Amino acid sequence: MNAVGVKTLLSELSENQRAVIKKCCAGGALKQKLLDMGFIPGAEVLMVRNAPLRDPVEIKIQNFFLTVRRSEAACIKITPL
Amino acid sequence: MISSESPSMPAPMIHVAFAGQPNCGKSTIFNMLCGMNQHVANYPGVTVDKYSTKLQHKGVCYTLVDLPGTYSFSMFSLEDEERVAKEYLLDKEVDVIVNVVDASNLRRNLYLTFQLLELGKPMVLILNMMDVAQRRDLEIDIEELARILNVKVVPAVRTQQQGREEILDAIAAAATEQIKTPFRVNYAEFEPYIEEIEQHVPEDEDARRWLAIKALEGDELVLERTGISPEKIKDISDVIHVRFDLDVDQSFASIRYQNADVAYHRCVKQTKPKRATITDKLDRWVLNRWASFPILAGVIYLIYQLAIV
Repeated sequence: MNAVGVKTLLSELSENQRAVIKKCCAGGALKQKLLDMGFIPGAEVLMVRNAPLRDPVEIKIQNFFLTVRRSEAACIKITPL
Repeated sequence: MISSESPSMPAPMIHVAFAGQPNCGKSTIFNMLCGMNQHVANYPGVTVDKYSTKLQHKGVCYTLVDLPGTYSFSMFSLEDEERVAKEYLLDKEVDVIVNVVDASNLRRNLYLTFQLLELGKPMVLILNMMDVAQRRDLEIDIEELARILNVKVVPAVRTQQQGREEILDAIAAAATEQIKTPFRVNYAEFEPYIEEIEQHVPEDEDARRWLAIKALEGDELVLERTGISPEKIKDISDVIHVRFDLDVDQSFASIRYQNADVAYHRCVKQTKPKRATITDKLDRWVLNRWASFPILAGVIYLIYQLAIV
């Protein structure tokens, strides 16, 4: 599964790439917040754009747009579509 | 309770709490209802304020409390907004909850709505920003939504003084009504465990199911209030984890979103295929990796020219 070059984290997606969320690996309050915002297993996400300095990233999830830090996006495990 | 008071008594007081997600236009609706009578109070002792005001409508007195916006009632009370909102809503004084919802973002907003419904109090749902929803070609079946959630639904447009009477009438009606079949989110495999915890919630609590759900989520404030030990919750969570290989917080969030999804698809129709909004079109250039810097420089130059020259 984890062959070299296969993206597994939300933060690794390139622009306009779609993925399905596998797991939310954050802890504590951050995890709850991310879950509340819709980062749940099975949800589809679209990487809308990376900021010029690569942080933050804009993501489309549950039909709305959300901007998160790259470090937060790195807590989300995904399977690219 | 309001409903038990006889009509001959002096004007009854209905306590109404306004809850909603951030940016749903809750305070705008609140201010619209207050009109000229507005008296904004500031409760000391909490870092984030809740605002309250009194008003009269058709001989009934209302106390309206505007709670800080929250996306959810999560287990972590680090954020004071959520703590204030949560504590107030559990208060026995609250007769009616008014849930203000952004109609153009219904699915995400329903996530909070479900948690509010679990409190088991009479509720009025205000579908705000109907104009924005219309502009996005979203057709919302208001009657169907009211039927699914079993609450009164009032559409509103935030920028217009529209629906004031309707909202106050709906609140008055909700306050006197008995909820026969409150809306319940079905937590599937978790239901037996929720019921088990519910047995441990003190009997004088109104929202026992809600407290049980929050306790299972490990909410510290709720554990403290109900006297359920964190160890007990941890044991139950471990059992669930072993038996179903499920994680409580991820599963609950998933179940709520799935429910929101079902409700959304049953009452919202996208009448035309999605078009790119003006913001989308602008963003393509303004936020483009290469174009953004020259555009920024241009804007700064323009401001400089306008201000100085």
